[in-house]
Amino acid sequence: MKIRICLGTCCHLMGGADLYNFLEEQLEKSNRDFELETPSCLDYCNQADYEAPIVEIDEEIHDDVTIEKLKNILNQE
Amino acid sequence: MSYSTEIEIIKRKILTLISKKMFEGSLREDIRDIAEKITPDEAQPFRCCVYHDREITNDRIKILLNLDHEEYKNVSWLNTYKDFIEGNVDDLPPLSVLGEACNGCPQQRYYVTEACQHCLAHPCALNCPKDAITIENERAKIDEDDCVECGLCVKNCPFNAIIHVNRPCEDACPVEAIETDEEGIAQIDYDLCILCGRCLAGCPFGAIVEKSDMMSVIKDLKQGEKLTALLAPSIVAQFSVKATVPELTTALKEIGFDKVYELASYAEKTAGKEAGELEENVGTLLSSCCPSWVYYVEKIVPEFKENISETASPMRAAGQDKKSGEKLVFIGPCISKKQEAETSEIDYVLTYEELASMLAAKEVDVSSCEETAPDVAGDYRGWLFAKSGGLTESIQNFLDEPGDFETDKVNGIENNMTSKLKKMVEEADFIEGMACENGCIGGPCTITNPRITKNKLSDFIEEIRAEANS
Repeated sequence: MKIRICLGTCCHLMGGADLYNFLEEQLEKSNRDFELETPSCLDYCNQADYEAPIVEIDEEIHDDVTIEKLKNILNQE
Repeated sequence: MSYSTEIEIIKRKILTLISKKMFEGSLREDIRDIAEKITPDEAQPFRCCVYHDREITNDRIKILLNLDHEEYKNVSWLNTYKDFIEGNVDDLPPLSVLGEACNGCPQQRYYVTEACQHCLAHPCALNCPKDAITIENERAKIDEDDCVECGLCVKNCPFNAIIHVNRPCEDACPVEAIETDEEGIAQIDYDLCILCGRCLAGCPFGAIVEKSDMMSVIKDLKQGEKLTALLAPSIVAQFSVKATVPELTTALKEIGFDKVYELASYAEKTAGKEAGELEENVGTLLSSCCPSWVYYVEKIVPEFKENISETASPMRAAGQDKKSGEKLVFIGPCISKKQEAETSEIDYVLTYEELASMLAAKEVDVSSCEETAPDVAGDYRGWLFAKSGGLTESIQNFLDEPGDFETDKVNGIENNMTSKLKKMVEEADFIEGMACENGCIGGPCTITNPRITKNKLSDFIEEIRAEANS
């Protein structure tokens, strides 16, 4: 699984900072099988249909992502 | 470690929405719609109904406009907006309690839980010095009127079935500055409060709100005032884990700031002066850069008031250098700087949350910006101020014989630490006091987890150290 987390200022403010911290910790302590990419702003937050924070998982965009949502996605794999 | 809660995210959404409207010039028309945007009709309300949630958002908006939310309950939005724009604002305390949001959490401190086994020995009742415990309906019961909260029942229950619960705001406060009114609503005793901001994070109902200069800063930016941003050293990684200070400089200029100074340049001088004071050797020296720490010493252990360093904090020192026609905006992680600013030449204080909300409102992504050198740059000895232990390290760099001085530090003020502090003063020559755990990078209005900020700060400090040596 490939996770790309938006590191833009808006996403960072709306919870992205915690998502990044959470994913980094997951990578460090467990043998989770995912690849973490940290691009700069993915440029979705300013589009009307999307709400920050944005995470792209296997080329699919997820918006309004929370740690709970992310845990669910990771557990499904 | 803890993650940002929904409360913090909602606060940031309100900040972003209201600053967007202010920047766009549509606040007058749209101000009444903000609460509905935050809690739409179809939303699952946190409280009894969407209307209650919206009322609390509206209270927050009034505080953001520097108006007394209670007095403005029945004032029309048009007049509310007008009063803000015309500057007919209230002198708000740095922290306010939203009575509407306060849960009035129970004060009864001891509870028997369902883990009670209705045992034969019932040591809880046996050991209660006030006979406040009876056994009813197969469970121990504590008589609230008779209980003196000694805690013996908790210690003696073999099932750990009795728990001690406190109001989270009171628990979070290290100086017992939270009281309750007759309706059970929290109240802050400003004679004791040191503005550390822990109640803000501690309240799980989001009922404690800080006052804000954000809207006044936007108003000034729109009017073309010359504003200088003073970046506190803990700013590293606050707007994106990737963003650099030169990128942030561009971002700030893009939203209208005239100049950008790294406060580290003043911090470096503060360290040099404090090292000089230390070498004069007139008794234990207490650091002066964290205002919450200074308030703690002044209010809780006033016998050490004279030990506080006379050196101006970096923010205060920057204020002393203010040029005519210039307005200074301190950008930092804490609430107590808002109070310190009132007795300095600093015009406004913005928190990282407030500035990031302004950037989000203007759709400026910091790490996508070009790099511009700040107008005033600091060296690593100034940037060290951001973390616990850093100030001491910085001062040691200025001492001829650093080994001659015993140093100690307060890394986060704790409850009941006065005796510990007295011992520290007896043994150390210098005490670095920082009210927040981890230092400024752990401040109440930071965005990035201190673990990450610490790493990024270390990398950054190494980088400028290497540059300086090359």
